[in-house]
Amino acid sequence: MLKVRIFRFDPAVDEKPRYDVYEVEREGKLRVLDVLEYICENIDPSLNFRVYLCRDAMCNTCFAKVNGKSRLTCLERVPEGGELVIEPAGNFGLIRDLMVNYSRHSSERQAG
Amino acid sequence: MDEVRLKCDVLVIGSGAAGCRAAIEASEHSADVILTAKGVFGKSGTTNLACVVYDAALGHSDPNDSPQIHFEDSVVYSRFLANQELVRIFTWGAPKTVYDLERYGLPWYKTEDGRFYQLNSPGLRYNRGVHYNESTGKKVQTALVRELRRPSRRNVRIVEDLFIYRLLMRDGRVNGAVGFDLQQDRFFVIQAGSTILATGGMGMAYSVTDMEAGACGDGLYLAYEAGADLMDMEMHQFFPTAFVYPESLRGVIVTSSQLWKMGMKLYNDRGERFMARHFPDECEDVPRDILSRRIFMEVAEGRGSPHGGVWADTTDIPAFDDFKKDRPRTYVWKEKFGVKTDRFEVAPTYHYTLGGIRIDAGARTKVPGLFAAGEVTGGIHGANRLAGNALPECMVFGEIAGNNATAECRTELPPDEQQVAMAKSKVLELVSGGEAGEIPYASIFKRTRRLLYDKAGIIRTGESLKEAAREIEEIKGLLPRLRSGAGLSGKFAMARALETEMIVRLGELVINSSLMRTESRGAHFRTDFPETSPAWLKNIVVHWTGEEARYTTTPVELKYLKPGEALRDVKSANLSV
Repeated sequence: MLKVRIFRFDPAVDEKPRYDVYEVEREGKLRVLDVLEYICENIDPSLNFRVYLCRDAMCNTCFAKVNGKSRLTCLERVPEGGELVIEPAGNFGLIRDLMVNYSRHSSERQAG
Repeated sequence: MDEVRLKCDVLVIGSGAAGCRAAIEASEHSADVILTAKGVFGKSGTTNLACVVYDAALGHSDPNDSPQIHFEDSVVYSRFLANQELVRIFTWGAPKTVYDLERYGLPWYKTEDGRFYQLNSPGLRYNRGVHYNESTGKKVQTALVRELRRPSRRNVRIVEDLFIYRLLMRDGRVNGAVGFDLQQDRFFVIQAGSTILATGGMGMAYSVTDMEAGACGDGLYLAYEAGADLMDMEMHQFFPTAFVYPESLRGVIVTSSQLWKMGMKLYNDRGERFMARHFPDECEDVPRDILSRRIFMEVAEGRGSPHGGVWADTTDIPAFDDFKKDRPRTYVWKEKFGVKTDRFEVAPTYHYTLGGIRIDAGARTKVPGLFAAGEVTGGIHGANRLAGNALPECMVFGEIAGNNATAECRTELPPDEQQVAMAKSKVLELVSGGEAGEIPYASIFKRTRRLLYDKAGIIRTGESLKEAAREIEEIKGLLPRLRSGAGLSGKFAMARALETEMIVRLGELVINSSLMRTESRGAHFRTDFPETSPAWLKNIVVHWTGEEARYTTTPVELKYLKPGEALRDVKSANLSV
């Protein structure tokens, strides 16, 4: 079993961030992204992380801090032992849970 | 939930190559444009994943090439099912788009004398594919995004993380759309003079795919719901070589079209080069549909590798270091996850949606005010697509759609408030409850994807399709009880729940169209009807009448080229399995 601690924060509802802990079967999960997808589909559908991803190391939008280090989750191996801590990538505006805003410096979203 | 109201001349849904190109063109004609992306603008979408080649008959690497030959290659490869008028527009328009992209800043590979360096792929008579190593798609996307960010493109407003799930209609005309924001708790109601669908394919309807994870056929479903025609829904291209193992890399593509010529080989588990048995001359260098089918058959007949694929062997590629440099995408998996790149397991993966929305030569759908461009459309590739034809298609028809959508826009129609209210309640219903008896979306999502891959995939039979039809009917009955399983804050669960409904409804069209086509042609192969029948030289078209799906067939108009007339034809006839 793999113990996963995930950063959770919804600015619309929560006063401050918290960490949720999930227990996940390690079988067949090579990459950190697989763990996130598994949790969202099978344990907690309220978890928000960017889902519309290439899963092929091309789009570079699956960044997260994995055990304190900024990584592409599709290219990061699930560690052999110990706990997995997943937090939103630094230096980007936080939207909700692990979802960050990559377009901070550009003109996008000007319509809203 | 809050609501944001926006108004524009041209609404473009989807921010891949076709969507971006359409937005640029509309902006060029001074339209007020809104461009929406379901994910991160410039990053989401399948364009980024497109591989090596971009076909345009420039005749640089081989002076014999011409748009006429590109046209013939495409029509023959489509097994004569393509709309020849569209193919003509596309092949004659492709060379210009290469220069367009160069102007937007794409540094195409060139030879020392400054000419484009073009590559060959299976099915091409001459070297035709301009490229930028193996990430041409990403370069195309980047160039288009850079163009859209220029100050002179300020009339294009970009809204990202916006999931459009309903089109609005008034007086039989599409006049906007409703979506919800994946960032904050709010709906978007957009009033538009004309709407362009550029949402790409429906790869996520199949359980093994190399498409981006948002490609659920949104545009197909929106157009279908609005009453537009969908055609060739039984045609789905599989790419022959994708990783099989490790499990979590399943479906990740190994870009191979040029590797066969470099010396990559396929073996079954007994060490036999099985393609040589069927095609002693071409071996693996055959059209994608044939290779996919042969690999599938090897596995089905018990000669597959341990994880249900066949072995790809790269040891004969003379300069393997060049391979590493040229194929960083394939190589990265070796470095990170210890996948052996000299000998690894591959199997076919869902690659491209050949069918789609029926458009005319001006990228118009049947519904006034609604346009479509790119992979979401049907008719350009018929029953099979040449490697390298996808990106130029997006560029050519994106331009046409942007142009006509601007010219024919009618901005005075306000949204129908009743339709807006219904669209909103649809989402609020999905997130409500969680009571006993309600069905979480994930189980149906998975079940439908599995069903389509197993029973309406590479190899089909009447029996399996009938079973699939029964099962999809059962799944459809569950849809009213579908729930996202999370409240309003579970944005992606909400989106996935709506997408589940889309793939179920589209899956039904796929299954029924496949049942109707009692022959094998290109990507559609039925073991109970293995021959290609001249009587089936027609397209299956389906539209929603408001109460039911109505299927009709229309003969293909052989306007410029008839079977037997093309030079390449003789050879491809032998290859028709």
